[in-house]
Amino acid sequence: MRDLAPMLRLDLLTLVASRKMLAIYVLVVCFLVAVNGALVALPMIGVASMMVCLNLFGTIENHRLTQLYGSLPLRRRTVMVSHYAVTAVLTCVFVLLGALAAGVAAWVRAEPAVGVAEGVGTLGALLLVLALVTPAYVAWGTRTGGLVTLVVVATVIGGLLAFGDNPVLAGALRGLAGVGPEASWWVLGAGVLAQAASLVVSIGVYTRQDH
Amino acid sequence: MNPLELTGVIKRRDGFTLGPLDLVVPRGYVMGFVGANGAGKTTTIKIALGLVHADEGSVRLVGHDRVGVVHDQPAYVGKWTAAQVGRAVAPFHPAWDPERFRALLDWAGIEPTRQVKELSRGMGMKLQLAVALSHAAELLILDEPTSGLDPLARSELLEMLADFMTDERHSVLFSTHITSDLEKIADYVTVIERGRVVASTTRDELVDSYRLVRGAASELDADLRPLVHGLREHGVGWQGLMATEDTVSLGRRAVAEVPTLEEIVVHLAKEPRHA
Amino acid sequence: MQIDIVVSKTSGLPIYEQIKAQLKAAILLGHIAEGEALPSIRGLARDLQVSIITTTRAYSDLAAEGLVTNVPGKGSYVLPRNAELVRERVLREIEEHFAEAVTQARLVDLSAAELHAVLDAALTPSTEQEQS
Repeated sequence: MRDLAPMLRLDLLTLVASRKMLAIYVLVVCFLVAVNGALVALPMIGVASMMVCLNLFGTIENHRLTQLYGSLPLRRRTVMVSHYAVTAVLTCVFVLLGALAAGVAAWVRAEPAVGVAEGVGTLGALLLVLALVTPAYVAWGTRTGGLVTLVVVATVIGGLLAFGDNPVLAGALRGLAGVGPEASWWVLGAGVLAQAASLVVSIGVYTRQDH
Repeated sequence: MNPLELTGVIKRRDGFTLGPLDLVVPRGYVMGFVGANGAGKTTTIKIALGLVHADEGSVRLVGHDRVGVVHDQPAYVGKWTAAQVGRAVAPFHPAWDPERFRALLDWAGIEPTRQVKELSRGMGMKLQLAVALSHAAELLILDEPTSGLDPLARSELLEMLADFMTDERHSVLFSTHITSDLEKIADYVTVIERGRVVASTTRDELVDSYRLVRGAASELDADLRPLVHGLREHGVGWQGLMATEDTVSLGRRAVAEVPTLEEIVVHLAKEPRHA
Repeated sequence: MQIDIVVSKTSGLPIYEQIKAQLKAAILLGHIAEGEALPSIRGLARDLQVSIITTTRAYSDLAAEGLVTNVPGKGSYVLPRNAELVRERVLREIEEHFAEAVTQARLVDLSAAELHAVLDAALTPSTEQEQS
């Protein structure tokens, strides 16, 4: 993949252009964490990182970037591989940041710290959700993709809020979150697999599209 | 080897069919690609670049690394500086010449730290040209590069192109609805109308093969009508475009003149109108 | 010697013909020596802001008349001229022009004397023509 390295650099340059927005996200999350404590850190960072990552797939600049890709010696599949790779790395970075923020908050507020399992589990969950949502962005663009993301995220959060008291769900969640750290690694594994499958789907969609 | 050859290309979309279409850019020459807006020029170019997949037909393009593209708006992230545009594109082109790029930015009057979104239309066009000329491109594809430009910027573009063409390995595909730009520089012209190619020859032959005719109403009989493209009848006569060989059948009061490219495109695109 | 080519885009005369005529004159007058190179086809197109096909056509015609040779990849060079052949060719062209003039004259009953007067006026040195 001779065009992968140049494409990765291009994606990074595209992200750099949005660095102010990135900084704002990070600040908002840190603020929310500081206010609400360590427990919200990871979910919040999750939402923020998803919004940033999906930016890469469906930005306002999308039309122009698509034209740029079309004029370069660049294969469509390489565009997808690069987007996915950068997104995955970004997600990891965000989770690390979130864990850091949570750790600081926990220390400052003398709360129980967040463990590795939480971090790993969050990463896995994020990779799963992204894997589900990204092909929608690729296939239908920012607006519809954004809607799909909103629906998925709202469903998950709504579900948690509505049935948070439900003992079965609470037990399952506790199982995921803390008991048995292996569970979180399974989630991570599922996330990685889901990403691979999602990449294949996205490549198929993107390659066949008219731009 | 010609840098671009489209053969039998067909694309169906929303009730509009493009093609069957043949388009060849002969190596070493400028091919003007003209037609009204919506005639299919941009779709054709997208098919040539691989942005759109044709339903039928074949596309042969010299590698993307040897092609430079100029659109009516720069295809770069708005917040990028001119220098970042270079950094984004350079890794894809082994033949990228950073000195040349800097010199061309100079010519364009663009500071390397200037953001793309701050550039005027003319400078946006020049930035794209600078990028295109910095990686030893052999084929320049220009898609409406001059729309919205002041005459000076347009003239500078044409001068750059004329210079580009002094190398016989270079070719240009110049797609525009501003046909006056092509009067000076086009060697060949392809006219597209409602998705079909209606003419594709040298510019001189194209202009020779039509005449702009103005005549008296009384001489517009049933035999003549179907021969007139874009017929406009008004209170004191009529006007239209005719194939040169058909002008032999004109009445004595008719005046037949050599048309400009613009008049050819306009009349081929117009439906007949009555005053 | 500096060769200038000045074309009119509105004169009605095809541009390639103007280029050809001016280059031909320069060659026949010896402004461009035998073996000397003409401006390149593409460079000329750029300078005059005309299409490459236009300049190519002018040069092709010059080659067809035996005045230049167009070497692919190198350029166009003035050929050594057989003065006799050139004179003959020009004479033949003049004969054709005269024959046309006589035909026209007969249409309106111009006398031979009137025709000669026209020829004499044309042969008068250019300074006098500029003054009149």
